[in-house]
Amino acid sequence: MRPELQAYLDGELARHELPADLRKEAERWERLAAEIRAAEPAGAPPGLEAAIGAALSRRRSAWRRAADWTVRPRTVRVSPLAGLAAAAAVAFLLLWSRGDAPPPEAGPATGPTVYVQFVLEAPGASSVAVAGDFSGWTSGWPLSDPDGDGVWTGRVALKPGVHEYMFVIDGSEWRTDPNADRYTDDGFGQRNAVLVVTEPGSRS
Amino acid sequence: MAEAAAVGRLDQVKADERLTTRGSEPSDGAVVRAVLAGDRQAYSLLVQRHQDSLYRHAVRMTDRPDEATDIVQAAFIKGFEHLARCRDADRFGAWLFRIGANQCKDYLKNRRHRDLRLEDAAPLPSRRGNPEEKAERGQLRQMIARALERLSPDEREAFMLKHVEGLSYTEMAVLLGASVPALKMRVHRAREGLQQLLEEYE
Repeated sequence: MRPELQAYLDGELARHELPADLRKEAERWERLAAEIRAAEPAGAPPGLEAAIGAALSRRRSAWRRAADWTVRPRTVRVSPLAGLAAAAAVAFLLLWSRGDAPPPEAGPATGPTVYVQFVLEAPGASSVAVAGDFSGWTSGWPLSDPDGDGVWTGRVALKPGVHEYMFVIDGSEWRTDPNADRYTDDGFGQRNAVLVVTEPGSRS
Repeated sequence: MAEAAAVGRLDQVKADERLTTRGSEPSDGAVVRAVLAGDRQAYSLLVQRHQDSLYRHAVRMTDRPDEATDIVQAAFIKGFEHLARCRDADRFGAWLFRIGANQCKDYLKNRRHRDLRLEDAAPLPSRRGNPEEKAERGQLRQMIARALERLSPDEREAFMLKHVEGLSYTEMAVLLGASVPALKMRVHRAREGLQQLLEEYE
């Protein structure tokens, strides 16, 4: 790339100082940036703030339970080996509470998680999200359709177990997954899709 | 739509200045101190203020709204747990941005490995439409996405902050903790890498 164009794009050269043959190329860079900007969302999806709050309060209650355990006097009979393990656990707790130990891996779920790919064909939709018991039903995990072919996909980390979910189109229309294996009545006149997530490594 | 997205583009770097002139609303520094003093609920104010700009950056870096959501959530959780280490509380936005930006780059570095694992976990049949049905816009976006994928995470980050976010090199240096010449080099390399895309792009 010509150094004059790099300098112009870096803001070190005014447009009129740019050789005429480079001006068209400069415009293309501006159009590329505009194209990227036009494709991106204006802000975070609704429900993200609530999800962060929920994740933090889960952590807080786990911490509180641990604190209760260390503070509350109780009679415990332990074997020497278990005593060692308990001492190690207390040492870990103390380390953690100092705040400089690495935090446990952050994410929407704790314990083993399985990534599940959701797919919905929704041509013409401007947004698609999947909502279910795993999102508290109040918000959804956004799916994406980067190539604009109307097939929306997204991966969500779920805990093993039985989950119910639905898709939300354009933030307002609830739609049942037409390709689910099982369904259940949702109590609102529609059906929820049912998904059974098995632990990684186990057979369904 | 593009106009709306462009407004407030400098949130991250200029947040501190705006917050101090917001009138009755507490500055980021005041909120951080309140959280550290035990008012943990106040943290949601910081989430409200900074989630949009961090989310936009994460989408630019990953091209995946679902991954971007996870990254932003993880960044805020990490920010909460390490809040005492935010030395300049009034610059919480920039501090959190760096946590999130690093997570975006980690994600890109592990993307190939992760996608493989995730595909294994969820073997869904592909139902992608055939190419001639795809809209022209969709094709263009795909072309841009592929070209961006070929950049290194550092180059992509620098390019996005310079060209899409519209920051100056000085602002980028403050935000990322890298030197101006190093950032210039990354942006120049990113442009070289995207050059071919631009030649096909009419």
